[in-house]
Amino acid sequence: MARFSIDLLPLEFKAESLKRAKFYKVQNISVLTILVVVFLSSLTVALRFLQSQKISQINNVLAQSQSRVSSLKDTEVQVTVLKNRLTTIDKYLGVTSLQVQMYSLIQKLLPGPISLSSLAVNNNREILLQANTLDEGAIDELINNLTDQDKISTVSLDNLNRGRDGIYRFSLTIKPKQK
Amino acid sequence: MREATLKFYQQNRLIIFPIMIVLCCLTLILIVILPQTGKLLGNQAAAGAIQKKSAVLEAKAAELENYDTADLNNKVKFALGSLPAEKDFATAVGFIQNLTATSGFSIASLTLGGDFKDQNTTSYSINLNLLGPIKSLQTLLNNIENSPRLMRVRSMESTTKADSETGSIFLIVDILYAADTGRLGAIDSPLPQLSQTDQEILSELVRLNPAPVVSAGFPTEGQSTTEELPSRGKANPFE
Repeated sequence: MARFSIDLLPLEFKAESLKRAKFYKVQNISVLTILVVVFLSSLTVALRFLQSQKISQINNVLAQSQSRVSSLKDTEVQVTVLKNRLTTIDKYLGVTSLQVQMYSLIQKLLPGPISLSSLAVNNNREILLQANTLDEGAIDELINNLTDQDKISTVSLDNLNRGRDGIYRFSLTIKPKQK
Repeated sequence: MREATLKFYQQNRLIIFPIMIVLCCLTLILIVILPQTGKLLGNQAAAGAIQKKSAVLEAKAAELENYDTADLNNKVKFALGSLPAEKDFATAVGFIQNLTATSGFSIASLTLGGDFKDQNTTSYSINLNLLGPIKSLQTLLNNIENSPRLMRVRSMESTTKADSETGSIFLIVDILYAADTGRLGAIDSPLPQLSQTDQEILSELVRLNPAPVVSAGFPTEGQSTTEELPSRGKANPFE
């Protein structure tokens, strides 16, 4: 004898049952979703709390370091002053000024027969030289020596005269080359 | 009203419930997760910067602690002896007197001139009228410019008498000083380093002037502010 079943449940009940099952499924998924989101929120808040503690520790360490450096402020001032001074001193120590260089140069180039009466080096490093000599060739030699120099820009013979005593008296203006 | 609401919910709960859950999740994400995550990332960068700054300060503090205070004071003393922070008339005049006497010149007159300002230094001038051998003028000029107390010859004028080795010299000497008070920058600004050149300059200053005189105005730690005048004139005036 073949088995057969008769479904006596009304159709509405069946539909209702299906709908309820579907709802339970959606409900489970939703609850799971919100639990995950709540978990993530809690995790984020906890991480922030830990981070703020860590930052607080780092700030304490920074404050200690700043305090340590502040306590050594006098030493830092000394080092700064020393460095600044030495940097400036380096520009001058052992460096001869152009005025003295020009004077040294003139002394070196002055021929023997020439006797210097006066020599002036001014602020602009120009040299005004007054000298005398018995040997006119020495004047030429001096001017040639001066014009051959790289450091000298112009040499001008301002005055030249010969006295009754045969002595040539002359004055030169020597201008250095500007840097 | 309540029954109508319940009936409406029962009929549409398949849609209403998920929507409510989504809204709650969105609220949590927007109000909690996103702002907190943003702050987490931002603070991470800030924490890194603070740690870096702290490391720099620690290194600076260690470097400063390595300095021998007494040795540093000594070095500053030599540097200030060469280039003081203020005008030091007495010291400069003492130096000039010694230098002129050593070179064989006598000072006919000495007057103080005006101030002159350069990029890095200020100077005041001393006008000198000297009498002495012209041949020694070069030596005097070299001594002035190589003096441990920084000085520059600004101008000179020499006049020689006929058939005489002596002459009169008029010098304007600039005495340099630098009013650097050693003002510091930010606390984490780098510490200046003393280079090999700086050490050589210090050695040279020690060689040139083993007993520097520091003028008042910038007392170093533990240093007296009283000026020590250099010795002037002959040791025994009756010789």
